[in-house]
Parts: sequence; structure tokens; C-alpha cells
Amino acid sequence: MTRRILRILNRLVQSVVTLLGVSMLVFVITHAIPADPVAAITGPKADKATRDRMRQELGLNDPLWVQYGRYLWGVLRGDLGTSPVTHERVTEAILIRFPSTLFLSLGGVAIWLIVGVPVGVLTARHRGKPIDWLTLILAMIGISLPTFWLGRLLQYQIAYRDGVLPVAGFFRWDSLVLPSLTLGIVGAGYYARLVHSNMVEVLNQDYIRAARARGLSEPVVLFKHALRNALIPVLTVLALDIAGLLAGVVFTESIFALPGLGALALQAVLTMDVPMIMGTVLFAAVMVVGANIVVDFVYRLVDPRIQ
Amino acid sequence: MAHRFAVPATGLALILGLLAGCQQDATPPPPTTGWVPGTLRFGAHADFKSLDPALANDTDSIPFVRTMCQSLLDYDDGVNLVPLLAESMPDVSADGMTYTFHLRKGVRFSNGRELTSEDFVYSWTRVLDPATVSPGQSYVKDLIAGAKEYSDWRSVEDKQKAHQDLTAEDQQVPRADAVSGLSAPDARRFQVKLTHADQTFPYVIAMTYFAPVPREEIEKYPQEERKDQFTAHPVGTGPFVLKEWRRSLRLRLERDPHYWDAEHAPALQALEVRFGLDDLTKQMMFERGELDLMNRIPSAAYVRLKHDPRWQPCFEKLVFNGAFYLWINCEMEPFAGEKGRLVRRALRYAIDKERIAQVSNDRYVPAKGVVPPQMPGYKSQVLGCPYDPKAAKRLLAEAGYADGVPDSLALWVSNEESSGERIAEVIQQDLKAVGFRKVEVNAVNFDVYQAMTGKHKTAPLCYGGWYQDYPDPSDFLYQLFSSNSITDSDCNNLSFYHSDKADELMDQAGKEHDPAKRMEQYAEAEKRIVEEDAAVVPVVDVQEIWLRQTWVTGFHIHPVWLVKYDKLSITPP
Repeated sequence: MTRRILRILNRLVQSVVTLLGVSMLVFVITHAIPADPVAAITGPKADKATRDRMRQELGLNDPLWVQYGRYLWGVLRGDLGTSPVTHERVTEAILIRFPSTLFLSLGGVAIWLIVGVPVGVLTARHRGKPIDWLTLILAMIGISLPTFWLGRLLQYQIAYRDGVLPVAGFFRWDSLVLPSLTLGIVGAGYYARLVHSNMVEVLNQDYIRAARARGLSEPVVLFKHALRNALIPVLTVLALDIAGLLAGVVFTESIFALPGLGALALQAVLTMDVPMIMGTVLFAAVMVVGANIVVDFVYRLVDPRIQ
Repeated sequence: MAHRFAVPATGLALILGLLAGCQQDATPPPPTTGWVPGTLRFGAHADFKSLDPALANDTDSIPFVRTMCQSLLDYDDGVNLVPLLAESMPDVSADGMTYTFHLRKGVRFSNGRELTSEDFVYSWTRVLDPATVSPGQSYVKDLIAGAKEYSDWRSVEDKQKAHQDLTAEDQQVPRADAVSGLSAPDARRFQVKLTHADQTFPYVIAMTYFAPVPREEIEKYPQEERKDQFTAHPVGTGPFVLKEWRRSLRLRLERDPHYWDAEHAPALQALEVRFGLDDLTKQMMFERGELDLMNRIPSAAYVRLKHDPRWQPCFEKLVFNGAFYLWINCEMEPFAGEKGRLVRRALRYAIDKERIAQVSNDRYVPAKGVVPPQMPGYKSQVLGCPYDPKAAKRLLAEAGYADGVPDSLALWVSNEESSGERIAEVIQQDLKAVGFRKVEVNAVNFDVYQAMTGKHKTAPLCYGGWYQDYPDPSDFLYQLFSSNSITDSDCNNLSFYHSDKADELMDQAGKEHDPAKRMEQYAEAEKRIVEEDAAVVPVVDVQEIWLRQTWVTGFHIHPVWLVKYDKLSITPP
């Protein structure tokens, strides 16, 4: 029991150190860029006095370590600061945009799993046959398609030319179909191959032969016995991918004008909005670190042998 | 067997279907359906930074802020000033230093309260308060009597509150709790005293920064939240009020049912801005009838639509008061000194502006001078300069560069400017053709561009633009070429040009009462800057090109506001 508590504590300390490292790195990078955030905020026509005032207001005249310390103290109190560009509180800005990213991510992940898992199982079952090769080729095409190209293509054909779905924006629920499809097509190919390779490995195990020898039907062997074990490594990748999606899907959100975290982060970078950049990166880091912790626990739940 | 191929066949069909969709079709005609009755929909790439009139300073947001917050003066359909919240043009004292505005009767804020002259004193003082960080401050800080004293004192006061050390200079700053030049003799008279006569003052105060805002709507928030809150909840006297602002998604303004000027109330019920739309997405939405107006038309679509007679009546064009220049750093070799002047003059002949205008798909027209052609009452003396590579080579030879200029020269450009990088590359080719052997284009984002070009002796050449704040030559000449505009960082005078003669001419023009003489002085200064000293090569003037849906009526491009949204209406075809 004590060992388990120590292990959890160790994991938490690692996570905190990771988040500190990320925040420090991003802070240093944003201040190392030869662009003046004050000029970006006040615009090209502001006079020196206005810029000096803004510099003072943002605390940019203080040494870097003082600025970082101040930021960190704010974060510890749950205050990610206020954007000097849009005058939004960073925490609120992230929370307002999170649902859009969440729904888009869920749509994409649903397509990954609904298409990727059955196709992976099917091709593993028919390994080496024409359907396996054809699916492999299609999956490789899917994986190789750049999101920004595929998104534009779907938008151009299905929305602009055919007029079946909205071109962009987030005003109706069907606005999410094309962005989800963009994410889904690229990811489904990848998950099909991932499930395929794990299934092939599992299908060669003795317990599968034993199951077949016991006369179990093929669907039961495939989906109840083989797939369950083949999915364990897939879970790790999936959790990290979901964390990545929730942190913001920059290209997809930008193409389809979805007001999500990716678009927020991109805009923050373009306008040198340091508190917003820090906030979105920190949020992304929390997602990834959180996903790692969740994966650790899920592993143990799925397979009690893993310690 | 068939089911085995179901998945790959579907995938293949999808890909082939998409690829088939890539074939070019004839341009579809303007849509005849899709309008929303009474609502005008516009697309913008970036969300607005602020709706507070004291802060809003981006090109897209100002025309919308203007529909919520009005100023004392406005422009007619051209560039002539007309009274708006003032009932007439101001009374100006004989020395040109005191302006008295008489406010219209019955003007109300959208919160229902009647506008008084005290609201102007409050709002303008707020602009001058350094804590507001209003871009409007810089236009009037040295112009309104007592403005600088107030601003300086407020800075010192803030330092004291923050327990910061005061410099010896700070300790000398006299106490000034108000701006002495602003007064409200009675509820409908607002008086402004200037430090010196300046003919640009009426133009300056027509900017949205100087729109009155009700004190109670700002002071109802805690002190530290006022700026952030009022940015998102503005209140003014305009015909529209903010209904919804979902950040990064949509802004919706609705007509104020209690607008004070019922006679001139807008025909539209609502204005809607959809954010996050890049130019290509906007074009697709526009052609599907999901947007009512479009600017920044992507090049490929522009060519296609321009040649379709069904779309031609929907185009609107105007050479706007904005221009792009090749700035030549007069402090850096090989452009410094007398020899450098010859090299700079060579640059004037080296650039083929016609070709640049051609590759830009009508977005630009060749420029002659620094001041764009739409300035009221202004007649440039600069005759322009023909593309003449031989003349350029001859001048370089005179400067001692008969075998070409061996120096490695960086040409800085912002990659966020439409066509900026491409035009910089055309300039690079032109310069190489006359003997500038090593010219490298440094395309960087705007912040880096601004930081690098605004520092002494950092950027030998840069290509960038300037748009008017108000239609007066001083906004171009004084702001960009006065030696007062040279600063150690974030400098506006990107040529770092210093000429006592040009300074003198611009100073005289700033004080001159006679408008014709004033314009002559500016024209003379411009001639010196462009022709004699060749501190800059005016490359192109900006041409605004917009498309409207057939159901949008009352639209024309305004030379100051771009669009007067309150004058538009939706008339289904």
C-alpha cells in the first residue's frame, strides 16, 4: 500500500516538474523572439509614451526571472492572467473555446474507432489477402494526406461546390461534419494499421488457438478474446492523441473557422499575446500529462498483471 | 466476395469523387437566395481586439465601432467633414487655438441618458489618461492645452500608487488632475483650447477614439476591470448596439430602437461579423450566399469573377488613402551621405511599378508620391518616375558603383501583407538587374518586421505600407518623414530621414491657416523627400476592391471609413 502511494506521489511530482519545465521553456522562447509584444498590442501608430506605458503595465521592464516568478505565482492561484490584446481572461478564453474543440475531437475520434478498429480486425483476419493489401494502400494514403489539404478539398467539394454542408463556422451542428471527417480520415488509416499489427500478433498466441480449438465462433474469438488484448497498446496512443486533439487542432479549426483552442493558440502566436500563448501551451501540457496518468491507471484496470 | 472490396472500393470512390470535383467549372452566377432579411453578414479573419472606441484601432473593427459610438464630426460620402453630434461645424477663435462645439439637442446614449458636454470632457480625458493606453492619445497629447501635463501627472501618480521609485524628472512634474484645455461651459457647449493652431484638429477628432462614452457605464465596474469590461460592453450614441460577441466566432450588433436620430435610422436591423474566416473561406461562403460583402478577394477567384459579366455589376473599386513604399535607410551604407543620395536616386528608376501593379491583380496602382491621390485639396508636385534601368545604372556609376553594388542588402517585408513578399521579390529582381548584386528578401511576421525595421541601422531596405488615420497630407508626410518621428525603437520614419528643410516646411504647414498655402508647403516637402533626397520610393497605392451580393444596396467604398454599414440595406432581388 505504501509503495503504491509512493508511486502515485512520484508520478505527481514528475507531472509537476514536466509542467514547470514546459512553462519555463515557453516563457523563455516567447521572450527570446525578436518581436516586441507591446508593438503588436498597441499597433504600428502608437507613440513611444503609449508603448512605454504598456510595457510598464505588462511588467516587461522587470528582469525575466521576476516576470516568470510573477506568472507562476498567478498560475498557482489559478490565475492565468489577462490578454493585453483581447482583454479576455485567459482561463475564461480557454474554457469558452474548449467545447468546440471537444466536440470536434469527439467526432474525429469516433471516426477513427468506428472505421479503424473493424478494418484493423478484418485485415488482420485476412492477412496477406487482396483486401489486406488494398486496405493497407488506402490506409497509407489516409495517413499521408495533410490535414490542411484534405480539409480544403472536402470544404471545396462538399460545401462550396455541392452545397451539402456549411463552408465554415460553428453555427449549426452539421458544421462539425466536415472538420470531423478531415480529422477522421487521416486518423482512421493510422488506427486501422495499429489495430491490424497488434491483432496479427495476438492472433498468433496460443490462447487464441485454444479458443478456436474449443469451437468458439470466429467473431467471439476475434472481438472478445483477441481484440481486447490487442487494444491495450492502442489505448496508450489513443489517449495521447485525444490529449493532443483537446489541446487544439490548429489546421482543422483554422480551415473551418471553428472557435476552438487551436485557433486561439494560433491567433495568440500571431499577435504575440504572451499570456494567451502561455495559457494555451500550459493547457496542452496539462492534457498530455493528464492523459499519461490516465493511461497508467487504465492499463492496470485492463490488465491487472501490469504493475 | 463483393463485401471484401466494400471498404477499399468506398475509399477509392471517395478519393476519385473528390479529385473529379477539382476540375474547373464555369463561374456560377451570383446567388439569388441566401440573404437574411435585415441582416448584413460580413466575414473577418481575426477577431476584433476591442470594441471600446478609445482602443479599437484595426481596419476591420473601426467601421463597426463607428456604428455604435459616434464623434462630434463625421465625413460625408467623400472626405468632407460634416457635423454629427455637433449641430454645426465648430466656432474657431481668430488665433485658431480655441474650438467651441455646440452639441445637438436630444442626443442620447443607448442606455437612455442624454449626452452632455461633460461626457466629452470625461471621454477625452479618459483617452489622455495613460492608463487607458489609447492610441488616440498620441494625436492630441501635444495639441490640447494641458493634455501633456495631465498625462505626465497621471503617470507619476500611478508610479506612486505602485510604490515605484520616482526619477528626478518625475519629481518635477506638476500636479494636474484635469486637462486644462477641455471644458464644458454649459450642457451643450464643449470647448477645446489648443497649444497651437493646427488645421488637422477637426480631422483628428472625427476619429472614433474621440467618441463620447457614458461615465456611469465604465465606472460601474471595479477600477481594475474597467478597461477589459468596457472593451466587451461598449455603450455609445450610435444607431447600433452590441447584442452578442462570442469571441472568435461572431459579433452581432442590432439596431437601437431608441436611436436619437429616428429620421436617419439605418434600414438594417442587424450587422453580423463572422470571425476566423481566411480569404479563401470567405470567398467560398460569399459565392454560396453565406456572406453579403467581401473584400480581399483571392487572386484566382478575382480573375475568374472579374471576367464574368454577371458578377461585374457587383464589384466596387476605389484607390484608397493607403500606399506601399520601398524605404531606404539613409543612415546605412551604401545609402548614407552624398554618395548615398545618388544610390537612392538610382533606386527610383530601378523599380518597375507597372509590372508590380500588374502582378497584383488590380489591388494596387503605381504610386507617384508619398501622399496618395485621394487627399482633399492636395496636389502633389511629384511627377512620378519612369522605369529606366539605364538611368539607374548611370546614377550608380556616378556614385562610384559602375561595376554594381557589392554590399549585401537585406530587404525586409512582412509576410502578413497581402502580396508583400511577392512584390519584394519583384523589387529584388529589379535591383539585381541594375547592379545591386546581393539583395536578400527577409520575409518575417509583422511584429518582427516592425521590431527590425524600427531600429537604427538595422534594415537597409524594407517594403511596407501606411494607411491614413485621417485625410490630411500631414498623416503621411509628418508621421513618416519628420525627424521628430525618429525614435530609438519602433520608429515610424523607417528611412531614418532627417532634413532640416523638410522639417521646416512641414512645421510651417502644420501651423498655416490658409489651406491652399498649407497644401503647397506639404507638396514642397514631399518633392524634397521623394525627388531631391530620394529617401523613399513610393511603389504602389492601394486599391480597395469589394464584392457585394445583388441584394445589398447603398454600398460604396468610403475613402475614410471603407464602409458605412449604417447606410446599407438588404433588398431581395
